[in-house]
Amino acid sequence: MRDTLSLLLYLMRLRVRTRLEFRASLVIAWAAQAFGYAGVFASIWLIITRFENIGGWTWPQMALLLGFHTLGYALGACFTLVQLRRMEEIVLGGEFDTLLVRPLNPWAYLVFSGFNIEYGGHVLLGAGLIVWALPQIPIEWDVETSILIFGALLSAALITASMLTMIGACAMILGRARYLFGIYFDFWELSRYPASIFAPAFQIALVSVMPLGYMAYVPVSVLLQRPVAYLGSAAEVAALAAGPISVLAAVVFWRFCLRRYQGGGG
Amino acid sequence: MSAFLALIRASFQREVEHRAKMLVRILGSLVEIVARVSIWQAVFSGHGSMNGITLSQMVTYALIGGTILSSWDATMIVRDVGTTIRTGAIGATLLRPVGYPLMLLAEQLGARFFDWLLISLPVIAIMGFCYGLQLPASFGHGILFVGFLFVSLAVLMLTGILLGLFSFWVFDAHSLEWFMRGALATLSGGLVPIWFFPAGLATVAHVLPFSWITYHPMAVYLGARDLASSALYLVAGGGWVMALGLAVAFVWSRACGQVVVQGG
Amino acid sequence: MASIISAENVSKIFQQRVSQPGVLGAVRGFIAPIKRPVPAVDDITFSIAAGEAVGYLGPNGAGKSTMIKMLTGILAPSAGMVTVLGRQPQAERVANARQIGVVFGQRTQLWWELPLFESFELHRRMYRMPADLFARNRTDLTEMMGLSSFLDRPVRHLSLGQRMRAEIAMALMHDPRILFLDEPTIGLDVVAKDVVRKFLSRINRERGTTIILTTHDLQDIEEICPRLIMVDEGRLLFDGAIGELRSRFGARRRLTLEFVSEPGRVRVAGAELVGGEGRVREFLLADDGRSLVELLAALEADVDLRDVRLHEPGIEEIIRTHYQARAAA
Repeated sequence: MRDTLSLLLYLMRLRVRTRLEFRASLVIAWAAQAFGYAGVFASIWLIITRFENIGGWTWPQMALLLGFHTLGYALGACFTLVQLRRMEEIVLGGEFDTLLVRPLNPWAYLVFSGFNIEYGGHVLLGAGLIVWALPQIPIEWDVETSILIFGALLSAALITASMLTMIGACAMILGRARYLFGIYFDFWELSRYPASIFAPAFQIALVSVMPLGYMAYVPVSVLLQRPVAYLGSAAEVAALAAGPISVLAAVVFWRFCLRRYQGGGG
Repeated sequence: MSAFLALIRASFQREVEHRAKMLVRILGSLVEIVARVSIWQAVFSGHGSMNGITLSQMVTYALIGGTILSSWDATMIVRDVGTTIRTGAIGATLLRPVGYPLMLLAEQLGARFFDWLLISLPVIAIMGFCYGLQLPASFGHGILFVGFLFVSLAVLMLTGILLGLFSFWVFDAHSLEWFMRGALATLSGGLVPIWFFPAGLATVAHVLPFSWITYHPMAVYLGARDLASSALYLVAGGGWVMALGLAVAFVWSRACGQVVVQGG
Repeated sequence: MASIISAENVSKIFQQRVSQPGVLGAVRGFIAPIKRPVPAVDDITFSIAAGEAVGYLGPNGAGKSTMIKMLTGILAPSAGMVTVLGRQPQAERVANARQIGVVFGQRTQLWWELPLFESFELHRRMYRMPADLFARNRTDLTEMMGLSSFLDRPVRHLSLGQRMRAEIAMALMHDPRILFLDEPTIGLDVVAKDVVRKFLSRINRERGTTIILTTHDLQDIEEICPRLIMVDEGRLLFDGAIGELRSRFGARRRLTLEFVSEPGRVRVAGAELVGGEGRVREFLLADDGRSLVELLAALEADVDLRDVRLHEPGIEEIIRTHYQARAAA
């Protein structure tokens, strides 16, 4: 177990070192991606300066929501997005076969050897929004809120990683999977707004089969002591449990697909 | 000219082959429009109208602005150009009879027309049925809107190509693409019309070419301007297209020199 | 010698999706795909002893790679049983992986952006090798494969030949009992092929590493593998020493006689006249091992000989003849 862990950390170090060879381009990439999202967030800010709030959410509250959404996503995506979005090529090109002849879990190899530090911009933007917004919101600080904040961020990272894993795993049985990531991102964009503004069907989907509501909306609502439809008093526990539950689902689904894997690349 | 049309047709056909992808994209577009409309429904619930704009107008703005006139995915063109340059495939394009920027434009137009026909129109029809879609303010506004549609397309494509060509000299295209996304997200009026901007920012956004991508066409469609001033804006947009076209031609000629120097 | 690899009545049947026409068909294909069973490996049985070098041969789509994938734990057989070092490879994938080495000719297992030695270091950690064993193997293999000049160069800058040598060296780093190679010489130039072949047969001889290799190039097999397994359309065609191949497939030697002038009627006892015109006659010989001198002694002709050729079919020719006959049938 310890050996495996140190091997995985070593894989991460190798990837980071590879990426650090081009430091300038890395920093520019951080800035560019943060700027890209900032452009969208600025639009949301513009709406609120004009209309005071979106569905009852003021700008500092909305900033906290966006911060959670961005940071939680970045923490999960840095381990998964780029490498699992490639699953289609990895499977079709036969690279997946080469992973299966190594004495290591292929998912662990992919995830850790593909650890992507390009999310620095996301992390700075997300953390920056949270740090800016928190002091402006009356929160009673105690152990519970701290657990909620860190637990919910971890949960959001796990949800991201699990969902991307499940979509990537589809490549093992379907051959193609890349276009499925598009659906994920459409719902992901939906989940950066307060879910209460959407039709009930979407609200239900976001806290059940498409659990992206737990990325930010549910935990931030709990922090702000706002009611969460359909979850009620279970919202806090649900926010913390959503990550681990989605991990379980992802493990089961990945294994399901791996059992049906028929080999790639002739 | 026939080569140009053939390229448009070829890339159109390539798109047709990806039907499953298309269904997924329609679904995605529907989700995005639901999000936009939901936002406007939420913020208008406390206001009858804002700056003279009603909810029903904003729903139409979201439907058309979020589909035919959207800019987010069009930034892919920057990445395409960057990849062509990085892999050295640009050298081969110099051998073709059609200039590279023109070829690129043809390819992108094929893909874009496909999007309009098979994704945007169904989405507008479905969502219009659900939420209601306003028609152009008058017949004249409708005619002018068609003109604006082409200006919008040209500004978007030319900006993308221009930025893409910069990856000859500066950092990778992927970053340029994100900068373009960020700038266009606000300045095109894609999500939020410039009506709702604070005064200073509104003035700047108004004159930059990006506002011709979504905001000006929609302002005309919804009849926020009379026909005369709409026509004037169309002419100004045409001016921006010319300016961007010249800029692309200039940068491309410099870039060609670069290719020769690199021995590419 | 004890067998370390065995396949007993192994079959692998793939479920191939049948694409359906039209938009509706695409949707239906996504929700409830129609599948057609395609047997890639069909009831194959063989066993390989420790220290053997075996060539696994067949045309494209014959099921070579599928068999290698079952032996290396990538796929499970649909029927029958595969045993490698006493294990079922897919069920105990990781344990199996520790004791085998695998080289894929067309895919790299090296870390593309980093210097070669980093890939070796990663390999050491992945296979949990003791430091002294790693140091010894690294030195030996680097020297045997001539890697030292590019050990610190990023893999992406290596030539295909250099890279393949490095791949093989890495696959052997952890002292695997068995080395599997899928098309190890594909795309290499003549010199690089030669280096790889010499090295593989040396490893097989000196270290006793069992080698299983698939290839298109029969010369690989002739130089490395005393034993040949031939498959076609998923079925086993031949399993035995290369020398036996000739008698099995009835490939006979061919005698060509050229006379100084039109010879008229020509006879060679125990040989069958199969062709020739003008001053040339061709015979197929019975498989009786007669020498050229004996054959000429049996020649009955009125005209003097000008030239004589005795053609021994190479295994490539034997196999090609076989596949052509199959295609014609």
